[in-house]
Amino acid sequence: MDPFKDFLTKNHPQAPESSPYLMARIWNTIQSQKSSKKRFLLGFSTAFATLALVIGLSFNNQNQEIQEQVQASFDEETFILQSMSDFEANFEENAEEYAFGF
Amino acid sequence: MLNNEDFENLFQAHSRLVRSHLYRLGVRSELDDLTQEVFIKVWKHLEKLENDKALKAWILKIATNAAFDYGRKKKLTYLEEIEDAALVTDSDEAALNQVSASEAAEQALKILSWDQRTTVVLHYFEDMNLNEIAEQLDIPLGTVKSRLNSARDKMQVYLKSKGVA
Repeated sequence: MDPFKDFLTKNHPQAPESSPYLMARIWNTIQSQKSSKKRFLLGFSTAFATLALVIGLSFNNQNQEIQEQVQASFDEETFILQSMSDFEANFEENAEEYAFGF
Repeated sequence: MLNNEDFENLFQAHSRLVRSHLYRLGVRSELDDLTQEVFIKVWKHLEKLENDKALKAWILKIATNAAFDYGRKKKLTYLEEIEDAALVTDSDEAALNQVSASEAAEQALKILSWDQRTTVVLHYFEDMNLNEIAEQLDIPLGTVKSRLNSARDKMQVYLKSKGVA
């Protein structure tokens, strides 16, 4: 046998005994790490879902605003066209009157 | 799925191995905390381990890395310990030379560098051959041999100065 091995293994002091609660402490730490991981995942997915909802709503609002704007401009255009058409019809009807005027 | 009982079996079977290994590598005041750190890491990755026969070597590797990180964090204390031990070695005072075999064995490991100490602990205490140590520490076989030789020389000088060898 190697004299160093013989000397060291026979004489090196032993590690002190662990606390009797060490195993339970480690197991509890493992469990609490597991549940905090679960809590983190739950929190993350809730936050993600909320963010998606907010973005969705805001997109929907924007879409509605754009639709309203388009509708308004469409209404305005229709009104102008209608006015022009009324004017033309009116002008044709009263063409003779206008002619006298000149 | 692993449960509480599996953890209990794992702990009962390997806690002495882990604690002794950490202790020999120089961990003292935070032995329980480091034991906890090692078991948490082992437990986290246990299901991924394919070869049960490699369990002991794998646990030792995790413990060695944990002790290395501990030594790095506690750099000052760690170096002080080594320097103190070196000073004692150089002293010629007869009184200081009177140490018990147990103290001499502890000091003989303390005067080694981290690399030498790891190699000596794995070889002498864990009965690993040089090839296994090379694999365990991810270093070439030649490096293991030279670390072991220089560690032996250092320990021999120290133990002679204490009248032990």
